[in-house]
Amino acid sequence: MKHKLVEASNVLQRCLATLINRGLLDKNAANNTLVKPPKIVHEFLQESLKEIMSSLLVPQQKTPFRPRNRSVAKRGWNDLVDGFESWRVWHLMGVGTLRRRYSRSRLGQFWTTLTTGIMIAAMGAVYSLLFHVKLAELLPSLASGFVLWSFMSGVINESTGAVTNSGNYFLNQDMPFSVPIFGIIYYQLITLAHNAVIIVIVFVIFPPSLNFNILLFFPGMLLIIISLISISSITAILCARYRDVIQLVANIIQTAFFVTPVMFRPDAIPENYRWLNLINPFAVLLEISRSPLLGNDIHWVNWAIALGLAIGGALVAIPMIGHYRKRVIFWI
Amino acid sequence: MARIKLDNVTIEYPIFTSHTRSLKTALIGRLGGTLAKFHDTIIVRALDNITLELGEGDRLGLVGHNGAGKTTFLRVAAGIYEPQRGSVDIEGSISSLTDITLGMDPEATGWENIIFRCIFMGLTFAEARERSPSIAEFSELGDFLNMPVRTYSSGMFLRLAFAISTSIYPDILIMDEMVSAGDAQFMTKAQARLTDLIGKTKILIIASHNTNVITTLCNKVLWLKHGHIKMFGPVHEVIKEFSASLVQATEISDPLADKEIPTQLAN
Repeated sequence: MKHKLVEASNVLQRCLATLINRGLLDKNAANNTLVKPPKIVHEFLQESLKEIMSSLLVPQQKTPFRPRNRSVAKRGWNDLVDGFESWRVWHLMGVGTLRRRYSRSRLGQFWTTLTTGIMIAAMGAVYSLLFHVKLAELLPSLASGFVLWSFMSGVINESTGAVTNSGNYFLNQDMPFSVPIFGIIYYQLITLAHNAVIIVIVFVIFPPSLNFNILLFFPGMLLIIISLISISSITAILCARYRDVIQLVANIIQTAFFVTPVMFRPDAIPENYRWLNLINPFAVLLEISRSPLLGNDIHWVNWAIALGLAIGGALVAIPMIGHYRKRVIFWI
Repeated sequence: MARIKLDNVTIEYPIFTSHTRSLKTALIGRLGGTLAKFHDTIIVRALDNITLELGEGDRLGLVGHNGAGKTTFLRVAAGIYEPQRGSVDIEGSISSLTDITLGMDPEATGWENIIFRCIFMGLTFAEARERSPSIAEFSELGDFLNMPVRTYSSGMFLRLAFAISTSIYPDILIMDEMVSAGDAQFMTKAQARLTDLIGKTKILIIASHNTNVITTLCNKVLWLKHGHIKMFGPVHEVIKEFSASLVQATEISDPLADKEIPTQLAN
C-alpha cells in the first residue's frame, strides 16, 4: 500500500509541475491557489485524478473459470446415458461381484436363496405366533416383502462404496460416473431373481388371491429402479465426500427395516396412523411392488408418491451427477 | 483424427482429512457463524496453467521429479481429470496403459480374463472373442488359460495382461513408465509388440524417469516442475537441459562441492 501512495504523490507532483509550467498556477502564490481556473485546468485535474485512482486501484486479476458449454443437468443426463450404454462393463462388474462372493463355494450363489429362505421361514414361524396371525396370511406377504426389501436396501447399502470401490477404474480410464451404480443395481437384480424362487415356493404352498393386479408389478418395479438410480447416485456422491454418511446410511436402512411393513402387514398399523406408511418412501415403494403380487388393490396415493419420488429424485440426482461426476475422482 | 489440446489447464486436489470429510464439520460450518467455519482443506495445485497442443505424429515424453505433475498430466490427457480452470479438448480413442490389469478378475480363468479386459478397453463381446486366440497365442500360456488367474505367478499374470492390453490399437496411447512383462525371452517379443503398437498410434504420451526411453521413443518432451511447464520442445534440447539440471542437482547436494565454491567472490 505504501508504494502505491508514493506513486500517487509522484503523479500529483507531476500534475502541479505541469500546471506551473503552463502558467496556469502561480508558483509563488501562497497555498498554490489557482490564478486562472479555466475549463482546461478542470479537465486536466480530472484526468490526473483518474490516473491517480487507476494507480491506486489495481484491477483484480481473475482467471476465467472454464466456460460450461453444457449445463450440469445435460452433463448429468449424458453421464447416465453413457453409463447405461456401457452395459458390457456393468454387466461384468455385477457378475464379478457375484463371482467374488460365491466362488469356490459348493452351492455358489444359491447361498443367497438359502439364506433368505431360512430367514423367511424362521421369521414367519415366530411372528405368526407373536402377532397371532395365521401362517397362510403372514408368509406370502412376508416372503415377497422381505425379498423386495432386500433388493432395495441392498442397492442403497452397496452404493455407499460405489465410488471408493471403483476408484481404480475411475483413476485409470475415463469412465462414466453411473457405471458402478448400474453395476450395483444389476447385481442386486440378479440376487432378486435368485430370491424370487422363495416367493414362488411360498405362493405354491399358501396361494394368495392372484389376479390381474399382478401386471402392475412391472410399472411398480420400474418406478423402484428409477428411484433407486437417483437415491444411490446421491448416496454414492455424499459417501465419497463425507465418510460419516456411510455409517449414517447403514443406520437409516437398519432402522427403516423395522418401521417399514416388511415383517408386519401394512394394515396391522391402526387406521389413524396409516399415514406413516405414506411418509415412509420405503413403505410406498414396497406397496407398489408387493401388493400386485398378493393381488391386493393399491391406493392411487401410493402411485402418486412413488411417481413423485422417481421424478423428484431424478431432479436432484441428475444435476448432482452433472456437477460432481468428475469431482468424485479427487475424493477417492 | 487425433488431437489433444490443453488450454490454461489448472488441476487442484483437495486433500481431505477425517475432519474435513466429516459431515458434522460440514453441517456446523453451514449452520454456525463464521467462527465455526473451518477452512482447513489443503489444496495442492498439481498442474498450473498448462497450455499445449498435440497432433497426429506427436510422441510426447514427460520428464520431471516425483510430484512434478506427470501422472496428473497423463490423467488429464486421458480425459480422467477435468480441470478446474482452463479447457481440455481430446479427439480420438484413448488407451491408457497406466494399469494394464484393469478389469481382470483373479477368480476367473485366463480365457475369461481376456474377454473381461477387452470389454474394459471398449470392445464388444464379439470383437473380444475374435481376438482371444491371437492374444492367447502371444501370451504363450497354453493350457494355463483354462485355470483361474489366481493360480498364476505374478509374472504369468502380467504377461497375460500385457498381451491383452497391447492387442488394441488406439489413436492416443498413454503410458506411465514403459510397460513390460515376462522373462528375458518374452521381453524381446514384448518390446517388438510395443514398438509396433506405438508405431500404429497417432499420439503417444509417456512419462518416464529413464531418459533413454524418452530419446528413443519421443520427438517432443515436456519437462514439468512443480506443476509448471519448465521446458517444452524438441527431444534433444529438453533432454540436454534436463540432464544438465540432474547433474547440477547432484553437485549441489554434495556438501563438499558446496563448500568449495566461494559464492561471495563469484558475485
